[in-house]
Amino acid sequence: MTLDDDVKKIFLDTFPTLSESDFQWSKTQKEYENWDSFAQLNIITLAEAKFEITFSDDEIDSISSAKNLLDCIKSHV
Amino acid sequence: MVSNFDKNILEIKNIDSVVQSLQNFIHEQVYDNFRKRGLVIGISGGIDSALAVKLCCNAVGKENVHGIILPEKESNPQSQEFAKKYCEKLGIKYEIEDITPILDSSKIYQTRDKIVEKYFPDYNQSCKYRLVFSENFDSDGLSIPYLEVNDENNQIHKIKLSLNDYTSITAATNIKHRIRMTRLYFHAEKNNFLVCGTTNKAEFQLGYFVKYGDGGVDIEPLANLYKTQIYQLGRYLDIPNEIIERKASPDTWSFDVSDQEFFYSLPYEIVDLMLFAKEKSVILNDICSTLDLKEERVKRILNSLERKWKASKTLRVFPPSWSNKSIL
Repeated sequence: MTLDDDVKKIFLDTFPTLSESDFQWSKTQKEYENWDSFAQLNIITLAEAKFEITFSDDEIDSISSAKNLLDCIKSHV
Repeated sequence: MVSNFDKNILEIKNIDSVVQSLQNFIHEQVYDNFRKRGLVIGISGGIDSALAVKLCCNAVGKENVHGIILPEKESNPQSQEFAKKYCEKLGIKYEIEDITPILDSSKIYQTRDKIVEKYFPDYNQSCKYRLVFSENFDSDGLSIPYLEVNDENNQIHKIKLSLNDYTSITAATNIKHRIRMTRLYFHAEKNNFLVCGTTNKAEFQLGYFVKYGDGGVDIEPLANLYKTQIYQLGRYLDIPNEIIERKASPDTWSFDVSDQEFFYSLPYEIVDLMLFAKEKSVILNDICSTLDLKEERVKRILNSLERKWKASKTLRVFPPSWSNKSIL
């Protein structure tokens, strides 16, 4: 699996109603019906565990799309 | 649409009438609507329950109000002290029941401690902990809740939990509220009384209560009053200063945490005004100028309130029941 695939999987795991065809890298948090703090926590902790990295508070606050997350992970690995 | 949105808009002008109306409401619910003999109320030592019990006493007479104080080993000792003193001041019958043994038997402390130990291996009984949730309204991203452990050397460790551990620790903690509810109903049913709730408007709208816990009651006289109005009514009704001036807190964590740190991320004064603005569709410019906040920040706060309102829908509704008249 590529890094892109891993990030996509985190989103599909976090949002069970999100289908692969609906997944968009630039879709923002506001456009998701169910992206709340719980979802944010899930995305962050899944990514941290998968890539063995730790996000700073500022990074966490800045993650509002799959693309943001991917960029953030890239800056760590 | 409200055109005169200002910082004092929630101030109650006709306070006598509001107090009388609240008391009439309680009286009607007890005697006319539910045909009971009085009211049981959980007294926490905070402003909401202090105001509610005072209104109950005025509404049905102190002899028909029964205060129940339900501390556990992680409660702030001041809560019990203030609650007891206030019940004595009001002259109501009250009981103190330590619910620690019940919580122990439900393994709630054990469940939570195990999770904390997983993240903080040096955890021991002299450590204290709490959950905090500090929303940052300076960017579009969402903040996340953290566990904070205060160790034996008074050092605070900020720890990220997995979603599953976060929800487990929260679910275990909510048992405290649900045990309290069962004790209140024991006393209510025994006496043919109602259980009076103490949830205020911000708590009710944003889901800052536990379904079938502190939300498991028969009447909610305060659910349409903003917290700032509760303080105003409390001062008017001579609630002791030590209760009014106390920091509002859930009082469910061994490491003390305020409502603002735990849930709202904003002071009550702002939460109330923003909720009002949202409910009355106050125009964005008026909110920004009145509260001296930038437009983006106001939008993010309004979005946060909306998210909390939507996420807590299940707390405010009765279980939907199936009905299909065309086939049965």
